[in-house]
Amino acid sequence: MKNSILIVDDQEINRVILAELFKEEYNVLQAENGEQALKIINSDNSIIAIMLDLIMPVMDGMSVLIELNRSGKIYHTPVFIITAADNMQLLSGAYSLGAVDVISKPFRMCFIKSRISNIIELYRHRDELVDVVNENVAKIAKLNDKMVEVLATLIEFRDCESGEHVKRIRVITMKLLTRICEMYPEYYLEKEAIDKIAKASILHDVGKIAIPDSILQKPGMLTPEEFEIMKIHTVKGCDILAEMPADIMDEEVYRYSYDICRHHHERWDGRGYPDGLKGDEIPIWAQAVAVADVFDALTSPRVYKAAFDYDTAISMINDGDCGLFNPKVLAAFNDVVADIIKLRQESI
Amino acid sequence: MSLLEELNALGADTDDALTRFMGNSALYEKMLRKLPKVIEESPVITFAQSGDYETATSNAHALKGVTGNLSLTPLYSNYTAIVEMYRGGDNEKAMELLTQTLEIQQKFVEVIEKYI
Repeated sequence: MKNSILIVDDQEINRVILAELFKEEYNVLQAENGEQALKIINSDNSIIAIMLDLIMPVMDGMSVLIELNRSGKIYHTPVFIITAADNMQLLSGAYSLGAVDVISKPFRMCFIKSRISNIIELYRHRDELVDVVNENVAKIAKLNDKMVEVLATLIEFRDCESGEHVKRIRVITMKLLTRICEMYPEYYLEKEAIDKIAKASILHDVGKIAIPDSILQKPGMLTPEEFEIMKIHTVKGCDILAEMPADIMDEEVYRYSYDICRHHHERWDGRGYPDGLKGDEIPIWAQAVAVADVFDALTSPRVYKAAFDYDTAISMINDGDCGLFNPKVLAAFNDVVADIIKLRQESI
Repeated sequence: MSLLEELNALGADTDDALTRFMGNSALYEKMLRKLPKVIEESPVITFAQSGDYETATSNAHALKGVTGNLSLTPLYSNYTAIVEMYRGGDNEKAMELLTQTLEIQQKFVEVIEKYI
């Protein structure tokens, strides 16, 4: 399909001359005043250039330019002013409103076509470059996400896990937090925020890199001294995050990661660690990851224990065997656990 | 004589206009035939006589553009000067030139109307 150009002039004779010039290459649209022009512009996405007279009845060209600035369309569609070039003040105003060039009357055809085609080409090229830059920005963001994922997975490998744990935590956190937000308006988060929290959740145990193998891989219960060392993985995780290059992850993902690293072992009654936060002092995203982490740990085999079956794990969580959780988070968990189990069985 | 020859005799530059119309003489002549209506819809003298110089200027400006694009050189030159005079506040001089222009314009209209 041909691209369109729009010619706006109250004099048909002027429009016809320009239409004749461009009819082979473009679909030529015409308007005889600013009001008609805006209607066409707002309903036709194929317009790649506008030729605009300034002095017209009903709505003049300056008003059209102001509206194109307001809608932002002036940045994507070049506007050429059709003028008899006898009012410099008006022309100067049009340029300051984003007009790119002037077509003087009487028209000089050999120049008009080249000038308009050149600028259309320039805009097209600029748009292509913007697309390329956006694609590259998206690629870099994806690469950064992958690097963070690889880092989280490496830590799981050191913990003698397959790396699947971090992937499962991400999915469980997403499901659980979505349900929490649906059930309790006080915890409402936008979907975009939930996506970022799920992304951040995979780093919850990044601080374990600082824990000695003898403790991390011990095939039995930890001594109280060993447990004290194990507890510092929460704080170490934050230290590691603080050392990461600032632009490796989104600022909000970083903030969620920090909270989750530090607080995913806090408990509702204040008996968790490292800060002994109580109730809603613990950010809701850290509360969600805490339940997700415990459920996945209970239902997976570890060097120090076999996997519990799902019903036992659910009872243990609800009975407070792994510390107390927010009753609202537990209600949401009980509501979605069947889905979580289904996803797990499908090898999430 | 043809329409274009008659217009040239009045001082028009129809070759220049045909370049503008991409050599499409039928389209040029079609647009020429619209000129009397454009003139009728953009009266200058009526507004000038009633003291509405803003509308008079705007209409003279419109006729300047159209006559320029049709290469009706004497009319284009005069309307260019008239617009400048109005913008410069020289209304009396503009009226003088406008009166002369209307006479020339009438000759162009008469020729064109012969071919409608």
